[in-house]
Amino acid sequence: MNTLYRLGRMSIALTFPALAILLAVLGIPAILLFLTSLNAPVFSLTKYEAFFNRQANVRVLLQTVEVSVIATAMCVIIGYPTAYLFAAVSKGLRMVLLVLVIIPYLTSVLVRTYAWIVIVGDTGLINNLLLRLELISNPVPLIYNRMAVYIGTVHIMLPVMVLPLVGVMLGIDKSLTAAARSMGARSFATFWRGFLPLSLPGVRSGSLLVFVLCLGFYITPAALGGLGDAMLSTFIAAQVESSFDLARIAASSFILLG
Amino acid sequence: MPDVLAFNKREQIDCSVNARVNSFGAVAGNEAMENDVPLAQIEFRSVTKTDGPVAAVKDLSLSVRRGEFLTILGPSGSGKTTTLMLLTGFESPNYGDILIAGKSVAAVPSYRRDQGIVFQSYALSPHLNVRRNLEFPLEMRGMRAVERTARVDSILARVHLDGLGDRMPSQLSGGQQQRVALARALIADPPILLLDEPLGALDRNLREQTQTEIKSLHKEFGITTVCVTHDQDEALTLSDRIVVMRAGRIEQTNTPEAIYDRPATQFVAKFLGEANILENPGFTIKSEAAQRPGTVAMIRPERICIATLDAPKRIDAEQYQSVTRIVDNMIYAGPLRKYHVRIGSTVLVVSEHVASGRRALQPADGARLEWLRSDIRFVAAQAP
Repeated sequence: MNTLYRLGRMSIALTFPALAILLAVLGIPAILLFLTSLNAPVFSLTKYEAFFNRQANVRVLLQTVEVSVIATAMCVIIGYPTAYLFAAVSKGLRMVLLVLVIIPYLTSVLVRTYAWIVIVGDTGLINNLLLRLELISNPVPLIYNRMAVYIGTVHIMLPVMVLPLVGVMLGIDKSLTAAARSMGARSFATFWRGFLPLSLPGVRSGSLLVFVLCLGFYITPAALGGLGDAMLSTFIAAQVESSFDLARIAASSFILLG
Repeated sequence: MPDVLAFNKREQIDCSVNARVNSFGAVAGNEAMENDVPLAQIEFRSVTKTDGPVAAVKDLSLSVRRGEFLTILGPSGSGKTTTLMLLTGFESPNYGDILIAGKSVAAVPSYRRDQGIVFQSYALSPHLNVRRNLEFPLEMRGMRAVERTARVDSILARVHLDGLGDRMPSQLSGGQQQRVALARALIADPPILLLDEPLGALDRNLREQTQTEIKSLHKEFGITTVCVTHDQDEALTLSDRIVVMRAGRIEQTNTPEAIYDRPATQFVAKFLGEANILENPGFTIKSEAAQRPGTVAMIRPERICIATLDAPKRIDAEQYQSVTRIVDNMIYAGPLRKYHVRIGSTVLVVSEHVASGRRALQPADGARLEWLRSDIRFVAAQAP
């Protein structure tokens, strides 16, 4: 009992249980995977060289980064005004809006992705409607292309962008805006010089979260994207299915992590 | 860019005629242009502002003279902050009109009202250093960088913050932040300064020092100032006139001395300083004025003299009234001793300077209370 009490007083000691679990389920496998990718115990970089020597691999890697950057940018463009609305409305309305954002966030990614197939598929809602109205004669290719990947990804990532932004915006002192206006700043100057710089930390953390999540995103690009829209995670999954060269897979994984 | 023009115009006039033109074109000068503008710099005409179903400000009429330091004093919920917000243009009245320099400002947005405001939280931009904070209002008026720098330097020196221009607001003490906020409100030389609980966030010692600072800045700039506070000390020491508000209405308007010495209502008497209301005292209160119906007798604690029973009575009994009672309690409060003495249904507070040299009475001691009949005030039991 006494030992426990003394342990409790060292605040750093309180992180040990969580640290131990993380180390067991994440740290050790990651180290083992890294050693595998290095062909341990021989230790060579051949698998990494092989990865970068194949043109297709590099293209997939660049494509992954590109899709992630664009999706993040879209999230900022859509998410920032949304979060601004959250910060501007009354408390009661804000709760309603938050629930509207959080409920889809808590819904399974798989469900939301397949919902998009129902909406944008060749026999989906949009194409059916347009065909019914006789605006088009053949289904418009809305799915299995890059656009569908963006739509799905942005939809799924948006709460991850909005929530940190709302947090930061609510923390901005309302009297700063009032002060700026009293000093002769019009609405735009008030926003540009006062509000925007203070909300940038939120944009930064939201973007970072979305970007990192996008890099490793698997389900949505795989379900909504075409063959040419493979992300690195899709690529790794395909490798696991086809061959079982663990070292090669490990190398690809570490390139994604790095 | 009309604002830019207005600013440049003001700069020229400042040098030549010694007057001010505020950014929406009204001339609000001092001596040189006295005849062109009405004496009242700010005027509220029967202003009502409702906040949902309740009226935050009811039928408020008020005028502030040019160069005056006016304090709006009241408890929270009295409508004092709403009154200030109406003046800044962040809120607009439901009924009535507000005039600044003789012109209605109903259609003038807050960014064109040309007022310096010190917010309770100071509202300094945390991402800008002191210099950039101070430059902001000048920049918004289109002043050139060279002039801005000169202005900032001079105002920094004025508020004793020289050399702190590169600090971030978070690196300053509370008192220094307050002075930056004050400097920022004054830097563009506005005709009106508004203070929202300016000393609320400061500790006691700093408060007194800052009071003196604000007072001298007000004198130096001769700027019409409206201050909102719930702190009676602040109101008494700073103001030329005090407006006491309660539940959206003005209870009394007068100079600090007059308001303290001759409160109109029981509420004012109790809100500004301590007041003893003599209700059913069990004896006839003798006073010089006759008691009107609907009023109660009031006397300030420091106007009552407390002495032991064996101390000699005052000679001129005509002018004094005296009663003998038992002391309930004695509280030592630094320079003062406070006695609680029960009279009728009320507990009377009597304060006595420790320096008076009289022996301290203890609880259960007999005491004689004496006061001048002319120190009795009759105040309205309720607001008229």
